[in-house]
Amino acid sequence: MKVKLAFLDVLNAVEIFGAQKFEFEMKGKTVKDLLNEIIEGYGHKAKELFFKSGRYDSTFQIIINGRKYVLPEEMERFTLAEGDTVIFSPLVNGG
Amino acid sequence: MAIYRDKILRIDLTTKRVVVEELPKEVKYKFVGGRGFGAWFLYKELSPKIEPFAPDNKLLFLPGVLAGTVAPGFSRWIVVTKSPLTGCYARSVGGGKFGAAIKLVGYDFIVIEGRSERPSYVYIDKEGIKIFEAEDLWGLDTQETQKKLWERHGRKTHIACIGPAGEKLVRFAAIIHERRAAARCGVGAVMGAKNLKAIAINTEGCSPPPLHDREGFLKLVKEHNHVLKTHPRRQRLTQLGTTFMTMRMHELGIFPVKNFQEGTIPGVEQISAEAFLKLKVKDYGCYACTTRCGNVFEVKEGPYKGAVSEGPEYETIFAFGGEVCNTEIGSLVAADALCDRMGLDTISTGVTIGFLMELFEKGIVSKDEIDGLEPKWGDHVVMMTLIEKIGKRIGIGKLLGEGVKRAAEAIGRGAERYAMHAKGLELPGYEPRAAKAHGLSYATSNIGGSHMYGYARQEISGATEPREVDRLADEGKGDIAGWNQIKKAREETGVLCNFADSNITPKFISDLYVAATGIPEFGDLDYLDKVGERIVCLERCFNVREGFNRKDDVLPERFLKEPLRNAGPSTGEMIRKMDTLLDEYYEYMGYDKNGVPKREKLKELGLDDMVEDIPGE
Repeated sequence: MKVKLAFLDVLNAVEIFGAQKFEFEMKGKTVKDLLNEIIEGYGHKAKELFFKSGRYDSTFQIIINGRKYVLPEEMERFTLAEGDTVIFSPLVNGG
Repeated sequence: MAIYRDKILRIDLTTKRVVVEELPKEVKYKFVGGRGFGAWFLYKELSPKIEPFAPDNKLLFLPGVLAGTVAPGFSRWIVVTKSPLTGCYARSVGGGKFGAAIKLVGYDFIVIEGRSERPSYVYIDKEGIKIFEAEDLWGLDTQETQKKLWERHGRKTHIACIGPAGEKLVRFAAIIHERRAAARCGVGAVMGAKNLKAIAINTEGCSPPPLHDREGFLKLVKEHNHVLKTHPRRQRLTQLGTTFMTMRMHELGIFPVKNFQEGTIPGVEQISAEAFLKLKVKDYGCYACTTRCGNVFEVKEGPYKGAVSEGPEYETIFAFGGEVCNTEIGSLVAADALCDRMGLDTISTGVTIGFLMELFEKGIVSKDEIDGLEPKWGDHVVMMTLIEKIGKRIGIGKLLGEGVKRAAEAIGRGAERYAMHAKGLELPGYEPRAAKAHGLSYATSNIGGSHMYGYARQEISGATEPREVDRLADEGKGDIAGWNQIKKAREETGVLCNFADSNITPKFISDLYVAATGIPEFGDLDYLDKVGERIVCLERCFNVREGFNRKDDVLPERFLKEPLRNAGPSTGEMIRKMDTLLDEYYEYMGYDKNGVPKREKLKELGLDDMVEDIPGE
């Protein structure tokens, strides 16, 4: 299914993906599937967005359809639908 | 008792009398420090209904309980007074080194009262306090002022000063220290009304406050700094500050555009973090802070070539970007620098200019009334001209310097509809219709439309404490707004910086407090929660005594009646259940239906002896 991805406030998004926002054809269903497929498709630089020092970076946030923040523990069970928008963005807040 | 200096410095500018008073022991236990001391002192000392510009208003400068130690992010300073912009409680926070300086030179906080007959400045060092004439400084901008005072007193002198805006009583004038600002609520104007140009603190030969358990304290700080080294959020803030927020807020429809009319600005990528990366020249950190979120940007080409500023941060990107529909990045740096020099709150300044732009757009004001200017959306040249006029209070700047609420009242013709404020304080860069607990906090905040008073991280960045929140839900937000306000007040006993709080938990703060003070009660998280609640409640009582209640806990009609336009997933949203939200909030906080703290709540918080003079159940 096709989902719309947006890597916002990610300084090297264009370098890694060719664009900040693009459509992505995914085979799986869950957010976890999506992450795995992005890493598989775009290599180690994409992986470095999600993993720091070998651990998943929970401050690199995932927002579905501009409303639902998917927590790390929800990734395996949260399923996506055709046309969903998935924003990936680093956590910074305030001020 | 360790960490405290046990000294309140009181300076009367009318009589030039300087008194050092003891900080009462029970106040430390009940209010801990920083904002807590401010609430206690101002409620106790300030008579209701005084004019904010009158000599009997008091201006307090308060560091947090850990200021002057090596705990990172705990050396900011709070200014507390009665606001000339809102007429209610004012709390304004600044960064840099001034908070540490107050503690290092030997005081828990400073109180300025009265009014100097001539422009003056206060100089404090370990030898004592002097009040000097400041005729030669009056009229200088804040950077020129500091430069002169450094030449006079040496570079170890830390200065909080006003610029032309404060001198001319612009109601949203800021107090500037280095290039940092205690910006909100017009605290700079109160300083100007006292004819006080600066407070200069020389810390040469001063020692940090003693710690109860030095080894334990340093161990906690060392472990925390070790985690911060590789903490991704800390790294981002060091790299580019909150410029990292703009694109996400814009995509979600939370970034207000054109005076909160809509949520999309064409060309937003021109003011994104990537765009600012090209302008960065260095970073800066506050006292003892390892986050070093201060980013200095220099414009290298274009009409603002040569402009340098420490900033803008997200709020200023909103104020001179989204609010006025401007994506000329150089102008954001230039505007930030100009506001620092003038001593202006960037949020209030930007929103006031956006207000004028909408009035012009709608034909409510004509160019003949506004010095021949045509303030159209996106016109950064006019924007810069207006900032200068406001700061100097010339031409249309005279009226705009009153703030949107008063300016709208003076203009009439329906202008009030376009004045984006709560209790008179211009609204910051988060669209209330797209983050409704955040909006509820704007309405109920005891200082007016502040994003920091009860920042809703649950809605802005998906935080899950105390629970997950749907930012667009119309109700079920009262507890969230209250919880956030109490949490912030608790943290501001240490004036903990919002940007330096990566990896900081309530337990960590508690452990630091116990190690610093030796007060075992501070080891109880519920105890510290109660302190936070006590502070917010007392600030509320201050406002109730001034005549504020439910009728003042309001948002502009725009948010209740106009669906948000052009705002991605937030399009069409409104605040549909304002009364319900207020009722939820009052119930959570223990207030009656009119927003007045109930007697049983005052008793629970140990405020019933202090607060006898407000109505209520």
